Amino acid sequence: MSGPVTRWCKRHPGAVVVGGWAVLNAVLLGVLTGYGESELALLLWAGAFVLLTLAATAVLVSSRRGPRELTDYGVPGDNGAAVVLTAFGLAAGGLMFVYSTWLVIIAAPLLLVAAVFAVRHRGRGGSSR
Amino acid sequence: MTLAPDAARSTGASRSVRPRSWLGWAISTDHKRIGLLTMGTAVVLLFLMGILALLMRSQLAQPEQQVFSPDLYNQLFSIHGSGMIYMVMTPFAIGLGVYLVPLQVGAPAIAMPRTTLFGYWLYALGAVLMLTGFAMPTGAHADGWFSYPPMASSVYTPGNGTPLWIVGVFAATVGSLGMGWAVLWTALRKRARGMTMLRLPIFTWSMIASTLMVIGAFPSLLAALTLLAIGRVEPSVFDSNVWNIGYQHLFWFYGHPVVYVMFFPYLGAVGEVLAVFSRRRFFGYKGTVISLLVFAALSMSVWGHHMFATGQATNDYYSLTSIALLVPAGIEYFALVGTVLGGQLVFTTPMLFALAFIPQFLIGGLSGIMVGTPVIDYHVTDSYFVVAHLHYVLFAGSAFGLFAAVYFWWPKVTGFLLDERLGRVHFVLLVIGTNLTFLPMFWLGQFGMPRRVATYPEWAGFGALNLVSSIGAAFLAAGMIAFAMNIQVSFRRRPKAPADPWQGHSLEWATASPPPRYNFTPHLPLPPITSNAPLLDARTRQGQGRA
Ligand code: HEM
Ligand SMILES: [Cu+2]
Repeated sequence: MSGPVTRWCKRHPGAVVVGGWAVLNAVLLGVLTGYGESELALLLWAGAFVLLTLAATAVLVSSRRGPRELTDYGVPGDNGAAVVLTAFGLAAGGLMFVYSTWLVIIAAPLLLVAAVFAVRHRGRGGSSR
Repeated sequence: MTLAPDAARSTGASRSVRPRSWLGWAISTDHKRIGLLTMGTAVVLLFLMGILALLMRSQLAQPEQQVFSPDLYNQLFSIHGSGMIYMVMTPFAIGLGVYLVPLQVGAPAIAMPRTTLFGYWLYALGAVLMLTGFAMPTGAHADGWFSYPPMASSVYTPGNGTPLWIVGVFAATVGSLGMGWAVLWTALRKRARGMTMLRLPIFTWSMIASTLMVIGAFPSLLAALTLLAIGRVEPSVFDSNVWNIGYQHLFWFYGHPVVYVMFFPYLGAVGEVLAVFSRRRFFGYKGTVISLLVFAALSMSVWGHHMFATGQATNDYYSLTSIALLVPAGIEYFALVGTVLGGQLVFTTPMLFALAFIPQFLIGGLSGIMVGTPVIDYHVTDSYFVVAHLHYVLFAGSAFGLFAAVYFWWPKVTGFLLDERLGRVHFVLLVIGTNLTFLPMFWLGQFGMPRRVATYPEWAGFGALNLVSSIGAAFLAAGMIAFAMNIQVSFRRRPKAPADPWQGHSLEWATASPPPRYNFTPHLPLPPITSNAPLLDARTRQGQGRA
């Protein structure tokens, strides 16, 4: 059989895998509904289903642009300093929850420097992914 | 592909950073470096968390011992369990994918290299934050790896240990999510020409199934941690049982699937090792691919089996789906055994670990079906039976897969060989130690020893089995010393590894050891991709291999 559906699936195999997996989740969730589980639990799984559907959509959108994506390796320099600084800044920010909001004086400058690095990196034609 | 030369031109670190310096490593967007950083960090933490386990086993070796206070003991098992799950087995599994998936699909780099690097650093910083708890006056987090409220609320667990744990685990989980998404995208969208979905190696498929679960389930842990954080600021939240049970749902919606994230990649690695050292094609490829996806979907449906004893979950459904897991698991076992049977086995160290994985994981899986049955679970819940079960899954199973992977891919990623003799010593000590340590725990649990107790009275009669278990732990320690020595010897003597020391099947073995920056070059081109074992096909065509 090589109907239009089959052909479509062959063209977008990645989206089919993610989408198909989301549907499997939905089927199992449907069965759980019949068992009278609490609303909170059902909503939780429904939320995961939505996330997976979004992921499948993202893959589909990319897949419609072409059979495969070129890998984004045209990065001038092998330099991810901006995201490393961001990670440190966010970790310091997270510590505000443990200690005090005063830690913003460490977190904010780190994030600022990270932003400067990112802008400079973009300026040289680097990607942000 | 013809893209590699352009890529090579733009290589090299930016003007100021030397690529081989430590800073060059820390900010590199090369997936191989990020993968190695992730796995290296995880292995260091594996040793550290193992030391915490040894401390516990020393206290439990005899009844009524007081090496550590009960409070410190609580910190030990909490950080040991949290560390092993959030900071060792999960990140290593994803890190292995970060390293291998781009190579296996024939891509010059990972999709979203920056997201991947960001993920690594969030993970590493998260691990540090969690461990910092030990330096706090009130000590580290002490409410176990799942940290239920109201126990973990600020009323019953004051101090900074738990907040540090929350922030650390949150960061590490966001990191795993980022890395997982990049791996998934690479497998789906960055495949080289000719690499169709049904030519992906079994390891890459295991990563697809795992990262689907990462996307579906990990956000739920972030929600649970957020709820716990809110409840620590505003403790009245946990006056209502809705949010205590709600936390359990949020937690286990993540907590069960993560077990498969800590299992599938190791299963995939074991599959590759078994096929290569049986000198034949992986058996039942398509069936295994489908069963991995079904297995993963089912594993999203079973979380309530961790809540049987609360009386507030629909036990029928969860026990039904838990037992249904037997079907895809059975298919996978069939494939593993079918690959080995009738092969020409070569007993290298990775093969030994992969072979031991099969029966040992079976014990973990079958005891899982037992605790997935409410009538049995009511009896053994919160006892050492559960500790035995989870260690058979995670240690006797997954960690053996981890070691199989380390021995198998070490020559590829470092360019050096590991010592086979030390490898065998490591293996033998680990098999003895694993079973001596964890088998007696099934009986301890069945006879009523609760988990998470700092000690036990003499009259309870738990002494003999606990002593056996602690002796086993000493074997494990000796085995891990052999492993550390092996790594050290390899780095010191640097015995040179060829590109393909094992007659591998998948694309990573077609390039140099270690692979160049963009994996394949005009001098190391991609071979024709004819199946999920293109290198085996090439050997067969040349009449040297046996299919
Ligand atoms: C991959 C390796 C391992 C993983 C993933 C792992 C995981 C865990 C987890 C999740 C817990 C439960 C913590 C809690 O109750 O909150 C735990 C407890 C424990 N583990 Fe491990 N573990 C590993 C290796 C080991 C080893 C090698 C040993 C022994 C030498 C060991 C001994 C223990 C002990 C004694 C407990 C505490 C039991 C209790 O007091 O309830 N673990 N582990
Ligand atoms: Cu479970």
